[in-house]
Amino acid sequence: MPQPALDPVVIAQLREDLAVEDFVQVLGLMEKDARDMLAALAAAAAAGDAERWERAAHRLAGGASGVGAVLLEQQARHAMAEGLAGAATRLPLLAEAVHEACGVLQGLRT
Amino acid sequence: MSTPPLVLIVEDSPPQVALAQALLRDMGTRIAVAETAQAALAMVARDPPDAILLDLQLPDGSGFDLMRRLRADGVEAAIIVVTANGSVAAAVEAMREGATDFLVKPYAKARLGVTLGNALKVRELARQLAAAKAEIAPDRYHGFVGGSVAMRAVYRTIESVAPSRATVFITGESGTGKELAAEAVHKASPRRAGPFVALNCAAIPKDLLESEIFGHVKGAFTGATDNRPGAARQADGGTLFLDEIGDMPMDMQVKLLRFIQTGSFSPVGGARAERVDVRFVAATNRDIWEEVEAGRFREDLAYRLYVVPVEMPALRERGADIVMLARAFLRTFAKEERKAFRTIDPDAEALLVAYPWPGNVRQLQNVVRNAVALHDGQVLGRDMLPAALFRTGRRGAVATIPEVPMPRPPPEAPAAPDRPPPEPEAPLREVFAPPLPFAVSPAAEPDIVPMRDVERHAILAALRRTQRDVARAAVLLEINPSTIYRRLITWREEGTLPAEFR
Repeated sequence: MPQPALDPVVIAQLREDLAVEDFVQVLGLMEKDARDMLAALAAAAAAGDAERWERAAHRLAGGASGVGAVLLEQQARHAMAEGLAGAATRLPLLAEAVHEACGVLQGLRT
Repeated sequence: MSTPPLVLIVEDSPPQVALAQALLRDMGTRIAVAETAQAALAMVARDPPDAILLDLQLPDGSGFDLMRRLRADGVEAAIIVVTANGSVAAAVEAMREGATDFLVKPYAKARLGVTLGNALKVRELARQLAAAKAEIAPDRYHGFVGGSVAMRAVYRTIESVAPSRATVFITGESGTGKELAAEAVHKASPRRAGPFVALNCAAIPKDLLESEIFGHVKGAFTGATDNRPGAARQADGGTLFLDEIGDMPMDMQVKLLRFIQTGSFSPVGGARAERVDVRFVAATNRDIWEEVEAGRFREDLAYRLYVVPVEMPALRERGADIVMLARAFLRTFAKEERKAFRTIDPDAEALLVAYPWPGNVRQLQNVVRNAVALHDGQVLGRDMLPAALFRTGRRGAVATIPEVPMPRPPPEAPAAPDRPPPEPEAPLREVFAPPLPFAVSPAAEPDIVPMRDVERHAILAALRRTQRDVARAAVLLEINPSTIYRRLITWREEGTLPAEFR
């Protein structure tokens, strides 16, 4: 069975702990940050900037783990481990994971 | 009411910051956010937090490095490392490096609450332990020697004020250790890793003082052949100690006031203002409020400086500290002079204790140094001490010493018309014995009155006696100044605080 883009247990916990407006804000910020970090990773790959690549991957992984975006977190951690060397193959997978997670996040916010 | 604990979130990810803020919102804490290690250091220096939620990877460095730096700076905040699933090993490593606890993302509100609550408790226990240790061994403190009541009050005040940025104003007779107190404030503060820059305003010619404090640019005046940073720049990130502040010329007082108010200054001949992060400590042996009244010192500057007063007691008020100091000096100078001196003869010690020491610790230091330099032996005897010590008689003869003006409290609490005239300071039992209902009479048992009334009477009497100087009143009462402050706040809230103290 495929893994869900967002861990339902984490989302349920966030719903319980946060007021509705905070829940919407956190998910919205996560969505924006994920897209920003994906762009930062692409830019780092283009510039051959390994440090920026690692920073963006780490921030993406950290943000994803906070909202239970399991697949995205896994992809970001692979990106951290591989570094720029794996950028060519990792970027499309990251883009797919970001797209999928953001779609679910958007759905939860509205 | 005590201030809620301050939690600093050190995190660069906006959703993680928003999440932590939202979860903390109703936990009764104040919240601050720093997105970088540099910002965190600045915020900790400005307003020390009680707890820090720390991400391990920051845009300008590692959370490990930041934590090591904070601990090296003496920051005692509880540090909770926040990490993602894959880096639990890093969290364990963080614990070894001084973290109080760690949280693994995603974390629930309940988990955050428990972790934070425990971390704050651990921090409070550590603080209490440190305070208890200071009470148990109170005769050494950042270079000071002595465990007298008066000195313990000084240590407590310094320890309380050091973590903040509040300006400290040190008063006391010459030779009582004002510079040592300023250094102690620095060493006990989170700025201890930064510079401590001392400047004696009385020792610098008037026309050079501005350049010494603010520096100058090349060509600012004849002889200014290069840019030169002043004490203000040198003290950036640390403490600037302005000694003999009462001797500062009026035109410099204006510039110093502006510097204290804005944190920025212009070097002599420079067009651009520079900003620095400096904690101010000032000292004088003059009565600053008398200087204000005489028009020699700006009132607004005096208020800016006189935030937390620390009064250094005269050596004659320090009792057994005299012998303790003399022995410490003997060990130091014997080593320096390669002499065999090991102890002081009891008769010589009695003489030292009886002498009123108008020149305070500095004079005692000189007496011991001279005795060591001029004599030989293992025991420093009476006959090795200068003749002046024999002439002054017992310490009761202190009245023969020229009176040194002591600072009075700032005029923000004007004297009530019916306030009793100040009386000479006396042991506390003389202060409050007559009016108490249980004043001891050989003929009758005293009446019993509630303890709170006894306490209130004693505190108010001590404050009247010291003209509302809380620190001195605390010394008389042998209690912590914060106890007096707490009672005053309570009585003010109850509406029972006498008008003269409002």
